[in-house]
Amino acid sequence: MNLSWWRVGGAVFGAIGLALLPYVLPQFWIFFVAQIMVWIILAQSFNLLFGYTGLLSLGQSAYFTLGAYGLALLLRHAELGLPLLLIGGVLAGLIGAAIIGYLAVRVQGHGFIIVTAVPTVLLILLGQDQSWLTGGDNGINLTPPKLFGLYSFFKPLTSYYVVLPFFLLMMIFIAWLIRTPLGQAFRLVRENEERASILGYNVLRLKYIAFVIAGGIAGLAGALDALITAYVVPNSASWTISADAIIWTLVGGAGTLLGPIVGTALLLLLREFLSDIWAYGYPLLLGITLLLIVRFAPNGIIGELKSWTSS
Amino acid sequence: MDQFLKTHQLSKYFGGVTAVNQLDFTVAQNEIRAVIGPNGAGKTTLLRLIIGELTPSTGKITFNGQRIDGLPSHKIARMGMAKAFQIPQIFPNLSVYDNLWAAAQNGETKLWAGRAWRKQMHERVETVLGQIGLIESAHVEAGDLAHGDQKRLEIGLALGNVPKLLLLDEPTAGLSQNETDAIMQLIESLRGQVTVIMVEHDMRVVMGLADTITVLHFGELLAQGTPDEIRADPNVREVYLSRAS
Repeated sequence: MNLSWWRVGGAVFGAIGLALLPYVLPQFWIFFVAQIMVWIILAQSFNLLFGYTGLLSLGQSAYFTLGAYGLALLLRHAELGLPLLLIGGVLAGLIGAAIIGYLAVRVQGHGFIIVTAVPTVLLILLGQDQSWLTGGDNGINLTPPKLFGLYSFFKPLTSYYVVLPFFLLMMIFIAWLIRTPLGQAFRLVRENEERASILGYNVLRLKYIAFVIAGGIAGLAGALDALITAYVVPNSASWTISADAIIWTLVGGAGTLLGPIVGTALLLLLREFLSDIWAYGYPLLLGITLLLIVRFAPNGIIGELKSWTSS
Repeated sequence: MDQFLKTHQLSKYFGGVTAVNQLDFTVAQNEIRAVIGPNGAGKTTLLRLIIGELTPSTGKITFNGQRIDGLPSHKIARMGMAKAFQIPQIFPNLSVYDNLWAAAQNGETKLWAGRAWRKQMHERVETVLGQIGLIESAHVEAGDLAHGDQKRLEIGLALGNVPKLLLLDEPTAGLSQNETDAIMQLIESLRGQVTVIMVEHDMRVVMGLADTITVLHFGELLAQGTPDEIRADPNVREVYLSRAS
């Protein structure tokens, strides 16, 4: 698989566009786009597992929440700079996924979905029970440190320009990962486990590596979310948050880098536009969109565009 | 090496059924061995035991001087063994080229692929594409290939990591006369470079290719010898004739 010039060009063009976007957007939309970028990172975490490795996980919200609390607790109890706070979030996601993944990848088929879903429930119960640490149902309001001692996170512009480089870094990381021999081997697990293992691939190990990396990516999304919303709550582990990421990914196109970006942006914009004018509009339209996608475009928007242009 | 692959008192039970029974089976390096026998003789089970898809109930397997029974199949594969399944086990949504690349990569999962390594992989893929005659279809999605071409790709996948021992489970099943001839030529071209153990029903293929034929019956060794010896063996005739009637 080659990185063709138009792809690199498109990515650079998109990155410059994103960097300049706040100059033309009103305050509200600046924050909104920052949030979309965070959710895209979560969707990519699911995409790495399902789209590339073929593992349907309902549990990415758990590592998202671990990442958020990783950052929140470090912020509360230690005087750390922004990079260390975010690394703490990523580590929390990685460690959580390393523990759950050890069990999950040893279970086949539907069992895998259940083993990934259970920790989301456990995490919420644990969070509610240990409210001295987690704030319980009320969560914790955070006061993020000012960036370089100057820029407050309560300003959308700060949030935007903090999220943007991590967003770009993560997209580059995934684009790189899926082109390495390791990333290429992930696809073989999705395509045919039996064949992959007879060709010398340790399928269990590949699944585990993908699971742990995806946990770290979800952890970063959670940490960034905690930073820009200045708020963490155990309920963000709910499997419905995972389901959102799944839907965004499927609509955009699983197994492609662009799919989760397009799907997440499109559906969040749709929700935002509809929320003021028609209360039930979004869930209704979302349901209909999903039906149409599954029936007529099972590979998602980007997947269908790809097969359309290549034939 | 006379005992390139060796099984010692190898048995496999599925519940109460004995698929392979106390089998001593030896294959020399670079020979082409055919394993034949009526349905249920334990031929496919034997191949699955050798490459570690199944764990033996009792007995030992040595490959190239090393014990391999009980090892997972990915480890055995990396020691230089490959298998082509009877029903093609391909990567349906990847191109033929990417399928063969996956085989050439041979279980490697590093994070850095240098130019030299990529070139080496590319050359291996090109070689196998030529061997199996699918150069024209290199960029076709494997799932879109016709059955005959999928069987070729299946053998290509087994050749991709340059194995020392190649297991073929009915390589010509479901193929036309012409396609069968092409597969026979391909196997013939490997003679002297790779050790081949093939399970096959088509006697024309077996008699045309095998140096030695092993006949299994109810998981036990019924007869073993050159094609001429096997053809003349009264026990073998008995088993095949009684089945045909």
